[in-house]
Amino acid sequence: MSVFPTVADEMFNVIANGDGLLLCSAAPSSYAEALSLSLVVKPDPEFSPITDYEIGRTMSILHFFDGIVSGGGVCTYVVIIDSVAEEVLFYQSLKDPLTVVVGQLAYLPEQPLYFGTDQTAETFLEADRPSFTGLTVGASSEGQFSAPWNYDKEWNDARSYPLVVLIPGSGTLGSNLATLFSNIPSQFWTGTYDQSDQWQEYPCFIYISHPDTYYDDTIAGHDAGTIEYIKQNYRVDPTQIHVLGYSMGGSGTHYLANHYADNYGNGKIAALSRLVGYLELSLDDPGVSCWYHIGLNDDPTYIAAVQQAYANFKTARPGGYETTENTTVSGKPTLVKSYVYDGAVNGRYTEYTSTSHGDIVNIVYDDPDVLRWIFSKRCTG
Amino acid sequence: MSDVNDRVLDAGLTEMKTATRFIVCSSQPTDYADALTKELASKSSPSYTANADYAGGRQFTVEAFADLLGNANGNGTYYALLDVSGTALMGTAPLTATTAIVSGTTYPVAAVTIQAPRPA
Repeated sequence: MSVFPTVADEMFNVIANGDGLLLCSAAPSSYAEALSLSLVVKPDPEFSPITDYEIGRTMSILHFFDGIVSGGGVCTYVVIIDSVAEEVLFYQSLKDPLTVVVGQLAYLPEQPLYFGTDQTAETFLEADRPSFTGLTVGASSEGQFSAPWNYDKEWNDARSYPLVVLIPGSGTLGSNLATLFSNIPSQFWTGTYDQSDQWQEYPCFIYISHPDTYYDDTIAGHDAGTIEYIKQNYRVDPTQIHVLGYSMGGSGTHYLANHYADNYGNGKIAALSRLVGYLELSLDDPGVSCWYHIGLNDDPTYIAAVQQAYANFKTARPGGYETTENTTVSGKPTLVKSYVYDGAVNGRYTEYTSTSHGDIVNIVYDDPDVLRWIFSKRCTG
Repeated sequence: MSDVNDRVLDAGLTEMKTATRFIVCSSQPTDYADALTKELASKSSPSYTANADYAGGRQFTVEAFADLLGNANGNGTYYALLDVSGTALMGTAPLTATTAIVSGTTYPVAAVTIQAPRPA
């Protein structure tokens, strides 16, 4: 969402009203812990005026030379406190850890804070285009991973990003890179295995699963472990994990969402996009949204399976209602059913006429509504 | 790694709730004046819930309403919240689906949740 600059300014003003700055040895979870972790105290810290930067507003904690060292050690976090309310207002990790010695005054260089008010205004340079590289976690086979475009820019230091997991079809089992990527929607990548321009609109982490045996609950376990690994090592927004799959990977979307919810307390998938897939026809977690896609020139068994999966989805989420609409995607007439429950369209089913099993993978994402819908979904629990 | 107090996030959300008009636009508006040129439908004085926790931060909801009034014909792709007295575009985001708007027709709008995520 893009917001007016005053929204950011109001947030910065609360931070700038803090009456104390602490340099701490670790991230504090409470006011009392901030005090106990504090190595340096600076009363009444000063802040710069709030100004524009490329995609939002920025304010800095101004540098100082006279921090009072209360304990020797290495400071890794700057913390702004409200000592009257006894609350931590804000903290962030220091760019460079600061070693302090009792008896000396501490120097802190200026610390910028950023708030992106219009992330659609971000500039993406060709030199920064993210590449896919191999990632193997635990027992899973090597998948392909890339971080969001501009992930390492300073202004994005405090920004978390969605994670998209892509699961390909069975033709990629044990295959080389070229075969793997041929099963990934063509809108998503370039011929040199980089992220396509598509991801400028939705900057996100992408993990491409590359199983060497047919997707099932065991493979889902590997991919769930990989999601946890990525969450622990990168700035992933845990409320925006989405899974997109084609054919075997269509079934894989449901295997993975079910396994993740059943085996991880925080294992919440926000939205799925299922292209075909004839196995695992139920979706246990009612909080997951799903868009089902099927080409009407596909195998009748597969068509029936996807229709059954969508029917099961609705049955497991009673009390909603359905609307239907005829549209066109890539010149092919489509029938779209939207299932409204819990106050929003949280289920969708699209039939594509004159579309075969092989065609659908490169057609679905020509419809901009699909990614727009997926990225609008968050876990709200 | 960083984090902020709920008071910080709530200050931003409360500022957004000074918006007095909900509109649907034909494309993404860049500022208040641009939003007015792209406006296809509107609802005055939308209702907001109190700010509340969610897993990733703080949020409020623009409550569902049944009387979004079309005032031009076209395909709506974005919604926006406007502070009319301050002539400010408080926020804008894509609709989950392109919606055909016909002037003079009223449309129901499902609740819209607006979130202020905690920093990473």
